[in-house]
Amino acid sequence: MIDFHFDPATWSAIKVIGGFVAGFAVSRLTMSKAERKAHQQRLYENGKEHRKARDERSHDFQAALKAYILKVEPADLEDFHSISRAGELYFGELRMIADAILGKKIDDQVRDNTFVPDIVEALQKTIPAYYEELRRVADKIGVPFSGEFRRENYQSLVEVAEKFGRMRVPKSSW
Amino acid sequence: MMRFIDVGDLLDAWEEFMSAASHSLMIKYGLRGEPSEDLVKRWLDLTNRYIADGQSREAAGHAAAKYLFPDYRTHVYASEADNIEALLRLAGGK
Repeated sequence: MIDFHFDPATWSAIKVIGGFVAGFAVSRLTMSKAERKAHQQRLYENGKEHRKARDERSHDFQAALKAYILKVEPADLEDFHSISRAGELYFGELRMIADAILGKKIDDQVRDNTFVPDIVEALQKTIPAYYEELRRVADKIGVPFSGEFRRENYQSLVEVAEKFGRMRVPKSSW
Repeated sequence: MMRFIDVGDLLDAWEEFMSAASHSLMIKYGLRGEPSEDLVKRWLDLTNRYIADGQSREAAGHAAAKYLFPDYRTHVYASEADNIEALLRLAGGK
C-alpha cells in the first residue's frame, strides 16, 4: 500500500498545482466571473433601453388618444391617422422587445418582471381594444377600415406570452 | 480539501434572488418601495411560521406582509395596458 504522508510544504504545493489545473480546465469550459458579469450587465442595459423606448411610445400613444378624447371639434381623418400611427409605433416597439427576448438579448429578470406581463396584457387587452375602437373611430369619420387583430401579425408577442407568460402567477390569485 | 465553488458567485446569486423577491413583494402587496433584504427575510420567516400554523400559503403571505410592512396595500400598481385600454375605450365611445 502506498503511504500518503507528505510533509506540509509538499502537500500545499500539490494543492496549489491541483487547483491551478482544475481552475484552468473549468475556465476553458465556462465564462469567467467577470465575463459573466459584463454579459449580464449588457443584457440589463439592453432591457433598460427597450424599456425607455417603450415608455416613450406608450406616452405618445396615450397623448394621441387623450388629444382625440378632449377634442371639441368633430373628428376628422387627421385624428384617425395620429391615433393609428402612434398605436402602430407602440405595438411595433412591443414586437421589437418580443424579438429581443426570443433572441435572449434581455436580462431574465427584466424580462419576467417588466416585459412579459406587458406583452401578455397587450395580447389580452390593448391589441383587441385597439382594433375594436379604431374601427369605431373610422366609422364615425366615414373612412373605410379593414384592420383586424391577426395572430400572425403579432407572432413574436404570442411566442413570448406562451413561452414565458404561462409560468407566471395568474392575476386572480394576487 | 480543494474548493471549486466561488463564495462570491453564491453571494451574487443570493443578491439577485433577493432583489427579484423584494420587487415582487412591492408589486404584490402594494408597497411604496422595495423592502430591504432584512425585511424580506423576516417576511419569509413569518410567512413560514404562519404556514406551519396551518394557514394557506397566500393567506400566510398576506398576514405576514400586513404585520411587517406599514405601507401594506397603500399603492396600486396599475399596468400600462390598463391605462391604454381605458383611453382606447373612451376614444371609441366618443
